[in-house]
Amino acid sequence: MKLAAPENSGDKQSPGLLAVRSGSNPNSSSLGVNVTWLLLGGALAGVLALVGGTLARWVLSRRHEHEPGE
Amino acid sequence: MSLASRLLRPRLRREPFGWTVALARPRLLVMLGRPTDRLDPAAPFEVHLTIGHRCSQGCRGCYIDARPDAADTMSDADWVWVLGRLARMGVFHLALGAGEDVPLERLASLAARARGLGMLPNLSTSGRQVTPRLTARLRVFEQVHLNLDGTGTGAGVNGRPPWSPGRLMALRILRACHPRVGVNLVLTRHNCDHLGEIFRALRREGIRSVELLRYKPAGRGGRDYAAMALTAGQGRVLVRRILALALRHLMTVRLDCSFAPFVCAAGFSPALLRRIGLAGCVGGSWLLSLDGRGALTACSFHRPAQPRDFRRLGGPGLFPEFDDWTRRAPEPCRSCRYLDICRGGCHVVAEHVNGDFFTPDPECPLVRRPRSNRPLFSRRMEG
Repeated sequence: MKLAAPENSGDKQSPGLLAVRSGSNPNSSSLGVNVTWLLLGGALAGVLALVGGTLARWVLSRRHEHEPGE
Repeated sequence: MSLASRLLRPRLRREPFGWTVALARPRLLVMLGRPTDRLDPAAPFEVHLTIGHRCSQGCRGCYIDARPDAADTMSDADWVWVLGRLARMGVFHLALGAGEDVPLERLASLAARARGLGMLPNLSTSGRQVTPRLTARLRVFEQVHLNLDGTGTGAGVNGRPPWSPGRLMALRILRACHPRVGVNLVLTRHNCDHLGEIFRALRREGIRSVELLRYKPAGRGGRDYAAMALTAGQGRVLVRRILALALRHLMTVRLDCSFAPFVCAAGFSPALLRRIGLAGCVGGSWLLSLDGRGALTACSFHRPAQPRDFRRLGGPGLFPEFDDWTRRAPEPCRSCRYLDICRGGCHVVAEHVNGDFFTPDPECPLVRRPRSNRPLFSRRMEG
């Protein structure tokens, strides 16, 4: 499957980090999420988003270079 | 294989929204792609396996209605087929559990096979069978959580003192023999006000990981649900109280998916909640459940009139009621800015209390409070 490269890095729809779930859920009945991250507020999430977004844009632009004709 | 690959053991999966990267160390699921309202993956991130229903404990609130004479139909060969299918689907995590009369060795054998197929198995147990010798075998599980209901001498969720000497011994054996041990704790109106005491007791035992679960009206749990569900007042302050306790006791706290409405109602921004991967009812999407009777369900608590057979695993459109919920969402969910995260809260609770699957979670603090009665601060936070 082919992904379009970002046309405008400032675009709100440019690829990036959507979510990070930490740990694995040890409970066999329902899906848990680590809410301790909320203590750090948006600070860490912002840093992760920046790093993840840069990584995602780099990966997608590399794919685009190798798959012309989209 | 590079050192980084060996340490991180990454797995990559193509998704409708982009990609998911699963790392083993640290254990992370990273979702990358273009922003979208709903993060629905190509296959479940996680599958819950209830290997058997045999249990002589007789717990009052047992959600699988386990009994000493329960008949299960899934053979080990069937489970091996299931594991192979899940691996081919690209499932990352498994959570195994069973009635307490099902030998833990059996679960450990299946977990070893799951590991061999590249999935990370976890275990929930009440600890009745835990011995130092057995615990060596339980190291095949990535993480082991012991089910506890509270502390002190008062009756726990299951009608007996939760902090019994036997449970405490099981916890200490697990802690001594396994590197990642935590506790599952079912929250009810009876133990909710004792959370501080419970966290202190857990810290004394060296526990750093707690998963809090909402009491569900499933199995025998439906009988006295009204007497066990959190009160409106407890629900309103729950998340901020839990976060304060997590900070005070330096504890990692996980809240199960049914608590999503309570987290949303605490006023955090939707963007932040999406980033930490908060998800409400993602049954049939992020997770699936399979039990020893061969029933394939969207989540462990949902009991459809006609359960899907496990051989349909991986097939399309198995759970249209779960897929359609947000599209058919009634008010006040329809106009709630958290709808695509929370997805209406726990539909099993709604079906039990309201008699209708397609109604909002009746215990959501935002549903309980009429909009006009909300204080200005809340109205601003909820948009």
